[in-house]
Amino acid sequence: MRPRILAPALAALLLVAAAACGGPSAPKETLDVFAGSELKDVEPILADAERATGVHVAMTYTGTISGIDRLAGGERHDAAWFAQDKYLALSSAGKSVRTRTRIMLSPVILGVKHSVAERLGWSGGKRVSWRDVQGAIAAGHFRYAMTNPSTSNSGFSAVLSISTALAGTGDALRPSEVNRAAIAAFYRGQKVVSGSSGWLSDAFLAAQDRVDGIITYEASIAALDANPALREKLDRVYPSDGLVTSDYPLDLLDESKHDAYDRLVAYLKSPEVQKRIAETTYRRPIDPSAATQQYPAVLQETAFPASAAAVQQLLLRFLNQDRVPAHSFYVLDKTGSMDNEDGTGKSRIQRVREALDVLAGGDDSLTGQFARFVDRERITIITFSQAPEIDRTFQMTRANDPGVFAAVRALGASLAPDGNTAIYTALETALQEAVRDETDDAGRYATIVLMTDGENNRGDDFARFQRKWNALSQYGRHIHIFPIFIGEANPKELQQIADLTGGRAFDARSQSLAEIFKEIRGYQ
Amino acid sequence: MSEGPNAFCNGALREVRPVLFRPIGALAGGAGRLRPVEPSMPVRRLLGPLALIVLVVAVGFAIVLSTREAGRQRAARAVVAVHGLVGSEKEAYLRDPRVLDELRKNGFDLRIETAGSREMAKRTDLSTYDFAFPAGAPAGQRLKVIVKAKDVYTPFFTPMAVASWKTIANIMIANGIVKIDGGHYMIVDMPKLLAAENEGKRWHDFKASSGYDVNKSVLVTTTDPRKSNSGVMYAALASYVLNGNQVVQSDAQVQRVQTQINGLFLRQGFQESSSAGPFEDYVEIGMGKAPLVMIYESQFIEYLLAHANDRGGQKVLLYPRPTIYTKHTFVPIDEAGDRLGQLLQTDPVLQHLAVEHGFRIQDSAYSSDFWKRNGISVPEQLIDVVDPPSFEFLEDLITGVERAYTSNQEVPRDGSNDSRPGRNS
Repeated sequence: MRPRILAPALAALLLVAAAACGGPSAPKETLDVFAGSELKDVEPILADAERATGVHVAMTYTGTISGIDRLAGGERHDAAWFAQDKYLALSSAGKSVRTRTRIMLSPVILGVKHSVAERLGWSGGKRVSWRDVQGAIAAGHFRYAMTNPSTSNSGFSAVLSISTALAGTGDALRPSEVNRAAIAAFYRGQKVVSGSSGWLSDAFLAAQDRVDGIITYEASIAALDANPALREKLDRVYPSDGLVTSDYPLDLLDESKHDAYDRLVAYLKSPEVQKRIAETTYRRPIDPSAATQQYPAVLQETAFPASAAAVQQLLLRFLNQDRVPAHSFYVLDKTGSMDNEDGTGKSRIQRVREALDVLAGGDDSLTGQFARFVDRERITIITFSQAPEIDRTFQMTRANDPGVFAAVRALGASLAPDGNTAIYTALETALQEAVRDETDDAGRYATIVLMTDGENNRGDDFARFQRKWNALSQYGRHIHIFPIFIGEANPKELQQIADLTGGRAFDARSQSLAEIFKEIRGYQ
Repeated sequence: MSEGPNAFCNGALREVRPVLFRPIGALAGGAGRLRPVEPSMPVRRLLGPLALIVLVVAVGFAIVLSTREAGRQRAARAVVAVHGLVGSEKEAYLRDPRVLDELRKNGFDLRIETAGSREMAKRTDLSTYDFAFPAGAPAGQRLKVIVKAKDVYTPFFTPMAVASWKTIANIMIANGIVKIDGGHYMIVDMPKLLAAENEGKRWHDFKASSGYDVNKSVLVTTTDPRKSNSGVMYAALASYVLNGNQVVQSDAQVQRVQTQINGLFLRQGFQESSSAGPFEDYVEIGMGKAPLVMIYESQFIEYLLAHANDRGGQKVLLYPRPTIYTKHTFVPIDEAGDRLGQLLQTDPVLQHLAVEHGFRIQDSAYSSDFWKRNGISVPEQLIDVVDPPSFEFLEDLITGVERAYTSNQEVPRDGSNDSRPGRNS
């Protein structure tokens, strides 16, 4: 076909699309939007947007940083919509942004139980700085929930503003200026870790009797406040020495979708829709006149670092040096059925090896770098069939510890599928080891990942396990278990384990096991 | 939700027009590139399948026309599609339906994309556009050389200004950095402001700072000078002041001011790549994010014209002294672009609409009168206006900032000093 035929053909297509519009009506067009998972709550608004503008928004959800990985890797979308786009702008994928429009706002702040706020003198809109919060933590008066900054934007925003405020230079933070002693004391107050802000709110509700507050979006705190399961109202504290406001910019990536983009943006920024955003998502409208409530007038914004490298270094610093060290248990099924390839051309046991390899330094993407085992972390790998078999613990002694990485990979290579399935007996072994930390090494944050491909048919059953769980010390009962199921595993039963222990179940039957291992790193 | 949404649907429909394509080689003197051309009749309703069939047939006919009879097809009142790259500060003007109508009457169907003024010069696809319309003479000059344009046009211009807040201005008045001139214009003393910035002053160090007693450094928020003109203008202005009130005109003088200039940018952290960004921070997030923002005067006037409630409120504009002008420089890439540039500079309707978007035009009586009638008064004449350094030295200065960004990235890639582990051991 000669090129000049193409353009009219495209015009014809456009007209066909126009004629297909439901109403009287506008040209129907699909805008493929790559979006942060927290934006699921705007879907009802997008459904109405389609009726009003003819623009069908198809959302593909991902995390902020894995979104950058995927865009940098050449994945194409018409638009991107994350809590913030500065890291994206600094990355190699930043060049693809054609235009950006902020849609709504939500600062990352502290929600503090009212009685605690009164006791600490923080209630009633008092001026409170991150330094004040750090003082309260050091004195043992404030324990909090916060997401992992390498997998969730709210945690990242918090770490950025805390680090900048405690460095106290008055300028944008440079990683070398992080005040190490102050920051380590700050993170000792973190009692609940989460890979996403949505799950953080749930985990906070589950743990509300043993924590004093939560560091998250103002919108999430407002939603918690409206939740009947919350036993004590939360005072909102806006740190006077800096916070980060997420501004939810809708970024156009494909210039040919400019018209559809403009129509969608005009709809989202119209006064009625802005008001609806404020009412249903608790985020602030970008247009202050659409505000449905009074907000504190001035938010002191923390400057964002100047380069992607600075952001990356800040995150790696948090993981390797400053956070509460983790003890991560992996309880892995090596029964005979792990030989099964499920039509993928790759055995289940091979998928496990590859997933372990990612955590042992084998993945150079951004998310891969943040998912690695980190300095000071302790890793215990227990494999099982009809009984626990291999049971080895590794201690990371530096970032990218080559000894541990090699040993973990060698362990993966040695796995030979065989035998029956004794899930609970294996979990009990892990728990016994984990509770020993209470006396030996109390400051650690312990979690258990359970990966299995079959139903329990040996050893203890769920009822017995539940009895043993309930008999654990309080320390033991705060350990979350994250079950992953592949093959013939019983999702219902594994969900029960997650519910009992405050963990979260993951389905690897149709998703990469390595990606799930990476995602779970946010919860460890 | 009944009226509003339908309005969107219908509004969008009016934009849909059948598009015919024909070579415009003869017109543009180029090599027969394809351009969409608009017939005069817009399609207002699409009446179901019948209409669809008619349209498909019509488009089929158009294909025949475009492939066989293209040469003869050119009508006298043909509208030429022109496609250009523009600085974001002119986006609202160039998307204003009144501007687009006037352009259409004069034979242009305008499509624009926004880009940072300095980024435009780095693009490799400039020849696919008809024009580039950056802010600032330096970017314009550079583009003129790159695309080998004969003439450039300067349809309008605007002085640089600092958007701020009454609370902040009062602190600066109390500390002798801002004064009120001629009764109501606020003038910011640039030597004093730059001295405060370079000394590392924090807001709480100022006397009478109780309205904003924070630990944050006193810094003007700018765009990224590597990408955008308004950051470059700030560098140009600061270089003049730091060079002892003289335009920088030697390597030695560039070196003398470089370190201080670098600090003014690097200490801000992340910077937006076009001028709309910091101004949006200013109006949408407010004083806590943006106490002092380097902007174009036009952005502030355009905003006040659209937001009558904000006039005389917390938002104030500070005029730097000395100050510097940005000449919005239109660089034609082909013949159609050249005619568009002439039109923007000479057409009275287009010139007057520019004033409604806050730009100053040659006819200064018209602009100040128009703004005054809308309750906005601006100084008619700014004194102590300086020139940017010559292209060469300004480029050296910005390249120096660029280098500082690169060397400032204190980064072992894995966050430690450890070497990466071997893959097998």
